[in-house]
Amino acid sequence: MTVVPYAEQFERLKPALPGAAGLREQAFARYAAHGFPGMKREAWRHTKLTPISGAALEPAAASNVSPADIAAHLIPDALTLVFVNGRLDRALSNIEQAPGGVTIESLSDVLARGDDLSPWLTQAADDSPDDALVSLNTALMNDGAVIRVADGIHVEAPIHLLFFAKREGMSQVRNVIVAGKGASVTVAEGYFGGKDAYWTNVVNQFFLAEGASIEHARQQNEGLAAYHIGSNRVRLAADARFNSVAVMLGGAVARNETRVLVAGERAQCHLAGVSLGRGKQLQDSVTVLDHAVPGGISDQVFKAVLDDQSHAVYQGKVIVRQDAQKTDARQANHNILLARSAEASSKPELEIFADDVKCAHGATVGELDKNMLFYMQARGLDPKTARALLVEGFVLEVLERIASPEIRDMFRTDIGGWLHGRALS
Amino acid sequence: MLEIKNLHAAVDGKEILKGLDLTVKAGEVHAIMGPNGSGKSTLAYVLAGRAGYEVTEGSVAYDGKDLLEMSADERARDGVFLGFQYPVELPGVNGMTFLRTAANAVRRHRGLPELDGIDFLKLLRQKASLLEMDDSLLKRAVNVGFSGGEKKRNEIAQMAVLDPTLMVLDETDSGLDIDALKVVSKGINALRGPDKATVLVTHYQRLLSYVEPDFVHILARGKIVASGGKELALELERDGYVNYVPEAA
Ligand SMILES: Nc1ncnc2c1ncn2[C@@H]1O[C@H](COP(=O)(O)OP(=O)(O)OP(=O)(O)O)[C@@H](O)[C@H]1O
Ligand SMILES: [Mg+2]
Repeated sequence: MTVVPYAEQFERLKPALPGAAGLREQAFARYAAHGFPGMKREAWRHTKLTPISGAALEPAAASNVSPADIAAHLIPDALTLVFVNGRLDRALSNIEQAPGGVTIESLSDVLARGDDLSPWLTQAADDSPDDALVSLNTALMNDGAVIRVADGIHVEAPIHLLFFAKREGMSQVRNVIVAGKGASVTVAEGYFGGKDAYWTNVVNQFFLAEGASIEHARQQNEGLAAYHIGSNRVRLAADARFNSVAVMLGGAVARNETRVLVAGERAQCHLAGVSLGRGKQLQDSVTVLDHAVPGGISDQVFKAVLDDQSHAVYQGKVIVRQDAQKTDARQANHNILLARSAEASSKPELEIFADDVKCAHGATVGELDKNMLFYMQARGLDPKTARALLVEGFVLEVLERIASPEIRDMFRTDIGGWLHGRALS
Repeated sequence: MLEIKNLHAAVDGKEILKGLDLTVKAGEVHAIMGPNGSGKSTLAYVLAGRAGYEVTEGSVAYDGKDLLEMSADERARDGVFLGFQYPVELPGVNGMTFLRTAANAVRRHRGLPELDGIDFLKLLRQKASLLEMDDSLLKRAVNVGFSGGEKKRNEIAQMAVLDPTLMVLDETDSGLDIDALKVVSKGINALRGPDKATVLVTHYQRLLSYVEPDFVHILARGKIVASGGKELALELERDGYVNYVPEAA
């Protein structure tokens, strides 16, 4: 038998990993059955992983950031958890301020004290080779956030998970967010890093009980040599609502995969993404919307603005099972190429087994509209400013979906910085 | 102010303007009428500097400068305003941001200080109220989801903010209801002045009863085929183009 990457690390590291020993063994075996998803897997076709699969990375060494380093990334009045190289920095976090009905803990604490999270953790991956890196995450998970919101609790302050990477190595992060019946909460994630080549492998699991609502915002601004594999798993009970907006700017190779199970009737899922690519970046947005029951609503809008030789991929799969009558599933993918050498791939996939459903999808790839540019020039805007406003407008439309004005502003600043750093001439 | 001589222009290799002459002096209002497809919008686009409208012969002088040498945005900053027959929607581009960016580009060109958000808002409110325009329209994405009439009103609001020298308005009256036509006409008249000039492209006499032209021209098959005073518009309203364009009979 060939040895899969990370086999030696797992053997060596496991005694020191927090809790869940049995679960880790099972998960590693699942991962090892397939190893890294190769480019022969359709869902991973564009995601070149050789730098992190060829030579196994070591866990990034413990490190620290200063309050000044993080100040610009904070959301005012948020409950903030700061992770450095995948480990919670308690001094910079304020989770003890969580209001009644909300518990926010470090995953490492929860596992170390022997809590059994396996009923949740095991739902993230199945035996498919496509899930191998989620299983590897379960085997190697070191820290993350465990957030539980009790039934009927509305959490006013956004919960902000901030991840900073310093120096090389890997971080295996696992976040579990459980919203009770009728609960509502905002969860934001931010990823930042330096110039080093490192790997963030993060798995987020969202469980929404009946009538629960989660606003999710994701800001992926890793260093440009980083590998970022983000896997989101969402389970929606009846009448639950999940609204997610992900902005991807960083990483050499970055992936944001969201798999949603619409398990309860009339649940709603809104997924949106913005990728901004430059250099030779690859940004992969993958969604799987599984409508298992009637009356579900899903809508997706993914947009990319691509410069240089960057490449954005959108793969959106919608499954409407036989029982899922009256499902309304929409997806749209729009791409603007700022350079001829940039590339956008769009792959909608519909598997529909019910007959009374509405499914719509649309995709466009293009340059900026010449009519629009002329109209703006006819009002006195120079071509560079006109282009920047159009690109900004194209992207800001997506940010409108973010409910929190503070988070929207923060994302807008990030995007504005990217645009002004671009040679939009 | 504007002197067009023997202008020939082609789109996609097809000649549309075929030797057009027109002189507009400061303070004047000129109306251009003509059958569909005769080249009125083409003329407007050539004056505004749209790419793809190739001038093959002739000249256009604006304030003594060679207009054709200037880029579209230079012309706009230098006081040439085109009111579009079909205003363009700009998804995601906030109306305020757009117009403030434009106004400040024009002001920089004129050597005036830029307006900050508050001063700009004051100016905009004042112009919008002149046009009896709900300023919530201006907070939305430019022209997106606007009705036909709202788009035209928005063109005039933009014009009022930018305060141009030469106004070229391509069928700004089409699609306006009777009340809106009066309001828009008031907006145009408010911008008239001894150092300014207006070229109105229109199909209807109605606009001209509110914005009185000094001259009316008939553009047919790429040329000005007749010119007269405002009575020419009344004659066209009555008889159509039959006396000027043989095939219109
Ligand atoms: N891209 C193009 N390729 C070929 N022909 C064109 C192109 N654009 C415009 N034309 C033609 O040029 C002619 C003049 O068009 P223009 O829009 O200037 O007419 P107009 O006088 O403004 O008409 P209307 O009163 O209908 O607005 C028309 O016959 C039109 O079909
Ligand atoms: Mg026209």
